[in-house]
Amino acid sequence: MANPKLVAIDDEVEFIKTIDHFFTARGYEVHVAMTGASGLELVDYHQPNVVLVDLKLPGMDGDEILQHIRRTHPNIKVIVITAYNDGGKTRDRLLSLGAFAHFDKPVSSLRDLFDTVKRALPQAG
Amino acid sequence: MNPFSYPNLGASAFILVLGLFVGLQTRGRWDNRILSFVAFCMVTFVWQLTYGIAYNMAEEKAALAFMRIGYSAVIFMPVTFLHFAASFLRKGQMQVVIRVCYVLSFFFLATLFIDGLFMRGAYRYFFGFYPKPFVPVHIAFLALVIFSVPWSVFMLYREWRRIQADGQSREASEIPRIKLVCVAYLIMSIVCLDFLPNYGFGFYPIGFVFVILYSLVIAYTILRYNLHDIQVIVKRTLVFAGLVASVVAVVSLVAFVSQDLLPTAVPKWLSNLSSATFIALLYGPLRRWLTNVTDKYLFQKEYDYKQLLRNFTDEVMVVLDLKQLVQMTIETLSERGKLESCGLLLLDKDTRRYELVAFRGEDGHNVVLDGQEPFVTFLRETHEPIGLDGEMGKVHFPEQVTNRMKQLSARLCLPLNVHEELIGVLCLGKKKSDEEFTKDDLDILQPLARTLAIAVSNAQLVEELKVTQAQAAQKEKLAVIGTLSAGINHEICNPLGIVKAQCEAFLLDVEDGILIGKSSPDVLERTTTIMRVALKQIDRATAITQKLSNFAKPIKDISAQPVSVPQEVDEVLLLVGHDLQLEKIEVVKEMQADMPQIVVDRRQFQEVLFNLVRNAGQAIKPPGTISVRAHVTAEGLVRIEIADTGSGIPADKLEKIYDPFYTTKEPGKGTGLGLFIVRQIVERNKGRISLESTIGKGTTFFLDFPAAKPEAAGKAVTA
Repeated sequence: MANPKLVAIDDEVEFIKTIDHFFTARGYEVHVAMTGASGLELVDYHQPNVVLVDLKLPGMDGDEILQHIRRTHPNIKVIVITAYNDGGKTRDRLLSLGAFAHFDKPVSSLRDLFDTVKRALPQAG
Repeated sequence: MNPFSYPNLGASAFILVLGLFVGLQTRGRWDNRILSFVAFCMVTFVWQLTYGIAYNMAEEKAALAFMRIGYSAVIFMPVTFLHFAASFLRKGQMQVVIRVCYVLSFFFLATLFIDGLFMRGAYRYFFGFYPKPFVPVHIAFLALVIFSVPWSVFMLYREWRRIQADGQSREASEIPRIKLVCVAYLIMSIVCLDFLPNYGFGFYPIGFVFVILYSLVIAYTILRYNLHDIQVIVKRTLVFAGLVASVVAVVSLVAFVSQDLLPTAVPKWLSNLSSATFIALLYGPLRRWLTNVTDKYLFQKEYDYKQLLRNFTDEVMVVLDLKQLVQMTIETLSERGKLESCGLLLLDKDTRRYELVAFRGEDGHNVVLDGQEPFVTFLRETHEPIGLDGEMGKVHFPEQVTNRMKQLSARLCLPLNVHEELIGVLCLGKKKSDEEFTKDDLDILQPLARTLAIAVSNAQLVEELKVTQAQAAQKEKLAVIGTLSAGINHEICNPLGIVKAQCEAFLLDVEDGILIGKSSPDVLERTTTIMRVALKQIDRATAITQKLSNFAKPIKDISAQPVSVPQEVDEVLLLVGHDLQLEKIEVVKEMQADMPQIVVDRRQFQEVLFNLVRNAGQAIKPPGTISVRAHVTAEGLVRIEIADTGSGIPADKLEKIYDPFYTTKEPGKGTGLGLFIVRQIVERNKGRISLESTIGKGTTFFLDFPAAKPEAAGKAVTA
């Protein structure tokens, strides 16, 4: 199997850089974007396996991106990261919209995130 | 007995007693003043007594005999009158004139007892017999009267003016006495009307009223007793005399018209009835008019003092600032009331103690009274003023109460009650004139105290409201911080998240063996990058928490300092900018280069900008733009503009937008205090706020502040 592809969309440049570095070091092909619009372009172009997206983004927010990807690329798994601590309401809504998983920000464990991304990949064989 | 004789007999008895009383009271210090007054009393006594008896005589001859005796006294009245004035003013040079007048009087006395030379029989009036004089001699006597009476009044008046003009004169304390004597003499001049019935004018001579009045004034002046009360007595008696004169006039007029003028005689009961009707109709208005006239012309100063205090009552109601109100009260009362001291105790609602909040007088006081202290409980229970003067002074007050009053230098204490609660005490010290507080003063001061109590309680309410407003403003700020959660999360959690992710990524790299085989410089570079990122993010989080805590702190006092507008705009946009960006609102910044600084409280200025930018954001239905511009106007003011591309404010709502609690936002979104507070803060910082709004295009707020003077700006640089 070719290297798994990941698109990360977040307006926090340092966070994006960390994700890029971390996943690249672990054999991923990583593409990053800082706005929703450019993120969707990357998704269309690279057809990644997994998309990591921040819920709050300038221009277009995570909800829209999630719905858009679910419509246009139903096989791409979307993991949403949110800064809202609202007792799981947002999480439930996102999961019902078809998100593969949900992470609170700040991400408590990169290891967990990595494992979740790995689970989202199509199982070999 | 003829009822018309009662007043004369009464007056004679009264004046006899008065003369004897003054004589006995001043025993041991008799001087010309006192002796001439006692002589005057005796003369008047004889006059009134014999006339009273004469009115009762049925025979003209008998009446004439008594009136001769009476007239022998009347003849000496002008000279004793003049003599008293001269000795009162210590006019030694008048001695010759007075002696001449005495000689003349003895001459008239001699003529009196020669039949037909002074008196030629009597008129018979409705009230009794009255002397008919031999005109040439009587005219000569009248000339003596016409000389002595106005001359005496003139002398007194001149002396009064002289002392008054010579402001620093040691005799200044004499003014009230001279004034009183002068007034008394004017009153006495009215007695001359009693000469008219001598010439056939048949009205009832009421000179006795003025004689009594005159004697009273003089007697009290001599005894130097309660100079103030005497004015009240004079006033009441004058009014009373005016009323008696009017009643007599009405009755005489009606009797004259009904009996003599009409062709057929009207029945007596009818004329009496009409007199009674006239009197009943005239009485009230006449009494008021007379009181006003006496107040206004005879007691000008007194009248002014009362008028001024009445005006004060009106003024005090419009003052809503407690400090100003207290100051104004103390100043007005001590100045207009001419008091040596004046103080105001107010209840502190928290400690339940009474504190002397203002005092004017010689000794500075610092008094705090416990709520249970006898002086306070006494006032609270009685609701009545405590006075140490005059009538009030006769009431026995507990010693602790009077001692406390002495400590407060107070002669009169008035409770300030609102809804049965004693909210304060007004303490009035001695009058500079040495006069005492009288019932008349109380008539003015008690309503004044009632008004003052209401005014003070209003001012206190306003003060409390201000505190509540400040609290509401604080609440609003905290609410604002709540709504900023996205921004706060972004600015605090993200940096923390980044630091955490960087560290974790490194550790996981180690754990997963990713770093194996990497060269030391590579690993060093990697760790250095992580450390740099971490430090930068920590600084970012620290900065935002500081800004938030500054913003959340309540504003107490203004600490103005030179402030750079572009810098503050940047700081504020850092706080709100992210939220706006999320809401698809673009923020455009246009700052003129080399802007002068402005002198404002930095935090307050930030708060103003913050509120205006936030409001602008809320006015916009995304997407839209907020422009923050700053430039120097033609007048040299620094102008900051915050413009939104919202829907604009309708003209009918423009005037209300600064009102507290006015809001156009949906329920729950705003408390409406924003712009109200913004304007208060701007004005407190010597700025102006204005706005322009076009429906459909948006609203622009303008903030104008004076540019900081160069030296102030320089200081800030060195500071």
